[in-house]
Amino acid sequence: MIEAILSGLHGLGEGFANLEWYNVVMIAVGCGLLALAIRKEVEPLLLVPIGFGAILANIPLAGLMESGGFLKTIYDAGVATELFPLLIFIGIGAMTDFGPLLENPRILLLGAAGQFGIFITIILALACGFGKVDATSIGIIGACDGPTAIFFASRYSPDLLAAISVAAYSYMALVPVIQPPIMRLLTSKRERAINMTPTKNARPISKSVRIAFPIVVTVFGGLIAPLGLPLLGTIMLGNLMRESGVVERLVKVSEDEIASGVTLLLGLAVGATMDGARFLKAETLMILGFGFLAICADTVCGVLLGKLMCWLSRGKVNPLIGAAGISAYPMAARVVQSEGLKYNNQNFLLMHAVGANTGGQIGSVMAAAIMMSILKGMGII
Amino acid sequence: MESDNFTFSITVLVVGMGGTLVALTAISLLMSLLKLVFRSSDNSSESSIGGIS
Repeated sequence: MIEAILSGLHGLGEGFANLEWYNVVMIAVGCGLLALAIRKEVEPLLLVPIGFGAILANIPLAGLMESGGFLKTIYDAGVATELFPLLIFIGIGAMTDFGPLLENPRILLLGAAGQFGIFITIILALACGFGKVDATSIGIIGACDGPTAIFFASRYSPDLLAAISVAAYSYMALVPVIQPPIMRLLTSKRERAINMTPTKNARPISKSVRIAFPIVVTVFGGLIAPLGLPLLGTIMLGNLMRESGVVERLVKVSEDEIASGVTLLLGLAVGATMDGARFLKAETLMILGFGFLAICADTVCGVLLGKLMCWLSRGKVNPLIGAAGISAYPMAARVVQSEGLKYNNQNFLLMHAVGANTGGQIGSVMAAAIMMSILKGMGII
Repeated sequence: MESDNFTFSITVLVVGMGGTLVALTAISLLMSLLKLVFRSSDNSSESSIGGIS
């Protein structure tokens, strides 16, 4: 009988007996993410499920990420199939107003410059020994777009998914910290104070243009880079529903219920990939470093193109808006607005920056789609 | 045959960076064209409505 009691007690202690140092570290990392989300309110919608998912995945013998485990089921259903990022994109499209971009289509070029960090980072990652596909997945962090990074990594580099998604979302949250010093370094006080008032006599964008825009972009973008059509198509579907004005219930459900529910499941599934045995390695630190470089390079290229536009327009474009050409919406636009106000309290950069920012959303998807087409064209995938 | 890293890097720079820039330039031109097309069609529908009333 005593033997049975001892066996029972042994069963109770098995979890502790199998706890490895890396599990403890990852549980601490999970708690750190939760602290960031709850105390500092850094991307709480994502970091709470990611942090908790990391804790769950590192409790030994629970088997949550083994076949039949509930986290594995969520992962297989939505991340491995790429479904979750795409559903989130429908919500993002439904929330995004492309009006400021349509008012001044040239601003879309800033959304291209804001993606150059992707390509620079791919080359750096290649030089540091990563394979071509993994280097591309890492470079996509520079899209500053969590769903795109997850979509790409889950398809082509599932082993790097955890590090890439944590880097992508962390740096998106850190945009207000990362960007301002670079913006100040690359621009003069006079440039930062350039006043960009709303365009005089600007006609409101007609409903026809707003409806035609997502259809035209989907068809054109899809023809250029067919492999990226799931990304482009879903964001544009969301936007078409918003602009059509005839499916309000679908718009509401996309931007609220679907986006929120899928964010919870996606966060849990990504957190669950942060198994200490696989996550705690030098490669992860390198990916975090490359992600940081990618976003810095995006900002540098965006501001430099902004300076070029400033010069070509004879001082009518404030180069700060170039920094908003990334996909972190609307955070990057708000950063530009607040920086501009510091040097000219009469400045109205917000709508111009929002235009560049929505351009960055299209740019990030196009850049990822083009990289897929390149990899496919070169026979690498 | 798979390309070496140098060839791949140059391709990424030229086709990736250049392709993104060209694609977005084309989309921005399409947007301007859309505005132009629908401005004239909206104008003509406004004037025809005016004619009826």
